[in-house]
Amino acid sequence: MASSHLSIAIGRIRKDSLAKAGLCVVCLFVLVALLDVVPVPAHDAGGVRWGRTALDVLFQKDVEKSYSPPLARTGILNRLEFPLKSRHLLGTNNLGEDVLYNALKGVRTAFIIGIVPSVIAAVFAILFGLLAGFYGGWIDDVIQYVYQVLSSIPAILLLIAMLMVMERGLWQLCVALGVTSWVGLCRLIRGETLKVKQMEYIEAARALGASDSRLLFRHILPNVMHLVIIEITLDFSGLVMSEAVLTFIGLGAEPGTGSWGRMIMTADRELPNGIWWNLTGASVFLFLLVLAFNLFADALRDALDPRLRAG
Amino acid sequence: MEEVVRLEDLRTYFFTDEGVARAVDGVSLSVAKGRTLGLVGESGCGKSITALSILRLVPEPQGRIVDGRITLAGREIRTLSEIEMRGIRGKLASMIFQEPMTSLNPVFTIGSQIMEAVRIHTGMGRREAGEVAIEYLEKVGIPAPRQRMSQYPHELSGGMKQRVMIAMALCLRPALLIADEPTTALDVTIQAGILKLMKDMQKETGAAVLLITHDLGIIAEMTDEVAVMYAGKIVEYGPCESIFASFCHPYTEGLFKSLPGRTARGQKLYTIAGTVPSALMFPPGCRFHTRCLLAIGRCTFDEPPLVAVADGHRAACWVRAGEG
Amino acid sequence: MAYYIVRRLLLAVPTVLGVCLFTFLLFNVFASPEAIARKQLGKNPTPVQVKTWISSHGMDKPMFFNFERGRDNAVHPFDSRFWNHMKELVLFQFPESDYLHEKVSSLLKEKIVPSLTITVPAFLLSILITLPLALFIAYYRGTYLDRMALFVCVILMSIVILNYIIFGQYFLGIVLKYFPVYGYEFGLGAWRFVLLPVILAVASGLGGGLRFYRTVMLNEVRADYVRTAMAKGVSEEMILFKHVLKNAMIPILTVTVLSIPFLITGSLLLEMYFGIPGMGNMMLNAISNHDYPVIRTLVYVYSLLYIAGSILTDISYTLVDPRITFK
Repeated sequence: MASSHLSIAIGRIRKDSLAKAGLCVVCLFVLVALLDVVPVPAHDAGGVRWGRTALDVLFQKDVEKSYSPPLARTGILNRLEFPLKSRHLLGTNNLGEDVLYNALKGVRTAFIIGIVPSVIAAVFAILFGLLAGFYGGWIDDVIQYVYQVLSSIPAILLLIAMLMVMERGLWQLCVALGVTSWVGLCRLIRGETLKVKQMEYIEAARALGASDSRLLFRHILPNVMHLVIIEITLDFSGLVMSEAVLTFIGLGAEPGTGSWGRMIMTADRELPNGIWWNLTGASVFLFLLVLAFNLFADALRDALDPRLRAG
Repeated sequence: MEEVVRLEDLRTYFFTDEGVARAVDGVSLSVAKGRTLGLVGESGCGKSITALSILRLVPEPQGRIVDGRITLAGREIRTLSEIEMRGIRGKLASMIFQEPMTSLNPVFTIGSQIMEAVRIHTGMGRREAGEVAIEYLEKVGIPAPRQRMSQYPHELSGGMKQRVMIAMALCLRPALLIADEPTTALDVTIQAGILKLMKDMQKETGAAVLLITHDLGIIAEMTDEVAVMYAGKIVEYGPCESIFASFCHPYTEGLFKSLPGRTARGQKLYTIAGTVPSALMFPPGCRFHTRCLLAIGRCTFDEPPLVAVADGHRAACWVRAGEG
Repeated sequence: MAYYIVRRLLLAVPTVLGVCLFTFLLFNVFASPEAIARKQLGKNPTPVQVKTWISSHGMDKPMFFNFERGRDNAVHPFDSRFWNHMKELVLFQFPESDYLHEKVSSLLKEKIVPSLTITVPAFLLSILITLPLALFIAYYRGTYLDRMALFVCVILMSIVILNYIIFGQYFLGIVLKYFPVYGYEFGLGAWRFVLLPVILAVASGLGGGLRFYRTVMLNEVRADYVRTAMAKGVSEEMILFKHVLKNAMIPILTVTVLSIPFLITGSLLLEMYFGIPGMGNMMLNAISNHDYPVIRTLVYVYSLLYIAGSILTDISYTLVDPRITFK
């Protein structure tokens, strides 16, 4: 991509205040996620212990006995009030955990779910798409048959089927999500590979003695990467939201990982009893991340659209 | 000769993120009844936007006619309401475009598309409008017109599609026909037929024709008068014979010299040095001075006006045409 | 046309067989029968329990070909896991649900109608609302109204469907008590229970649908034939409602007709939350109860639906786009 495209795109985004706001919010979330990745050692009588991250150090609060509303001084357990050990900005859930802390712990999970499956899918899609488009023949037929079969199964069912035979876990979830979603991108890459294959500079490179793998990786792959980048950004929001939904129906990550879906899961028991802060905390975080990303990603895609260029 | 369309100092600008593009920057021209004016220049010089401005079809909101007068059959175009404008488009003045492949709606029959034009502007019923459509299909040389009416655009060749466009444009006998590169997208062998058709139809309907092209051969064959456009302005204007016999402006000279026929065998083809400047940033003074071999000091800061160099023939150049 | 349909169906056969093969590999090769048995039997089953489960499900049989003598002293080479699996699906002899102990085929018959009572109205209402709205916005393209609408769409799309359901049920059902919150009634009385789920289904899809239709419309508006129509003097309204709409139907049909067979799938979340005994609910129960027969039957059935849907979509193209004919 020429640098002029990028500079025009950046210029356009600079003027779009919504996109800028979106980018800022996404950066804040990224910061939180990074804080949750940095391990912090704890020194005590038994030596050095690992297990906490920077986020834990900053935001983890005392665990109370049970529910308490945001910024309250007392909580409620079995209809009796009990005093709280500390102030909780967003209250506590039924286990007495700080809601804000739980919500912040969900950020890292959200980013993992938002990106890793796309990357996994991209690996499959690039591999099979390039091979199918470049070699054609029976390789193309086999690969097309495989993705015909896979795409005939509705994604949600495919996901359910896969998750039922795998162990519960965040990374298993990523793999399942990735494996069930590579077909669309693969089709695009195969099509683009076919197009690029016809171009003269491939013939020229071949005449100069370039090997197949050199052609594939140095010449064709860079030309399909833009499809991959667009797809990864397009899928992020959907994946983050699907984590919440999948956890809700029981297919999500193992308990213990931060998850907005798990926080929302308890909502139906809580809401009729007037306990709104757990659900709202998770929902607001989820909404803000998805909205911010959508605004920024939309602006980015529009800015890179060559048709909107003047002159 | 009765004047059909007159443009006076027309300015159409595009307001974009990267600045103001002055696509049409002070263009004046006129075409009389039964006469053909050729508007010639390279891509990007503003010819198409000039044509679109006449029918007020400049893409909004970025594009806007900012100054000048447009008079069509005595009516002031810029002051008309949109509804009045719609009454004019297709009836008083109509336009055909460069790409016949995509200019017709692929999901409607060609008959219904011609009939649509007829029925919007007259009150005719379906049968009557259908007869008009068949009549004009015949006139433009489409064989078996009655059967063709129910065909779809993809069933026709490029040349036939363009004939249909011409039929659609002329079936209401407009006073002005604007043709924007009508044959550029067609095979050379088909071009001659389309051009002859246009000439015949003009003779029959008496319409004035504004023919936009970059092809000097077409200009020679089809036009009575020529306007040479460069960077949003008209740099030379005059009768066709006069311009061909004694072109004046260095840009016009460059266009003629670039014709392959003019170069001796074995010699390198002539090209005008440099490229057309972007409408966002025209050079100061004479807009052609950065590519002109004759440029003098004055050309770099002072814009030359169109002055007469022969009978009815004007050019804008300090060196060749002077002050007038 | 019949010839075309038959040809497409024949071409689909390898794909369907592939789907059956895929589920076989997934549930027999990728995951071992022991693991599946343990999941089904819950905490700490005894080895005897596991063995019984495996043999009662025919999973102790050889994988592909069976050359042992059976109980009747004869050899049935095709009495193997693979062939039984394929037979079961291809011949529509669906197995019994592990949990509900009912044949999946009869379960299907019971559950389809409740799902349809939500999905069909939601589908129709969605189109009836979003299509005119999209045309309206296309009319005002480039204006402040257009940009506002787009922003609202993005916001609506950024709200996860769970929130629509939970808050919708809470405020409209529990707080305001406009709608019943849970349950279902077969027959004509169903409408009371179905109204809120349908509204929520439409609301949650509004943002994405409107944005999609708007993009499709605006793509067409940029086309050359629109410029020609304007040069003819056609009014802005006519251009949108006649010229643009008919061309826009082509991409719109791709999305809408393809989703028609899946109206049977039912919405997992809505059915769960509102207690509608439909297909989605069945799927959900199958997940939590590790009911593999149900899942593999559903995968097979839904892939058939998908193929039916894509054939329908192709046929619908020929109705709208004169450039496409049966070949």
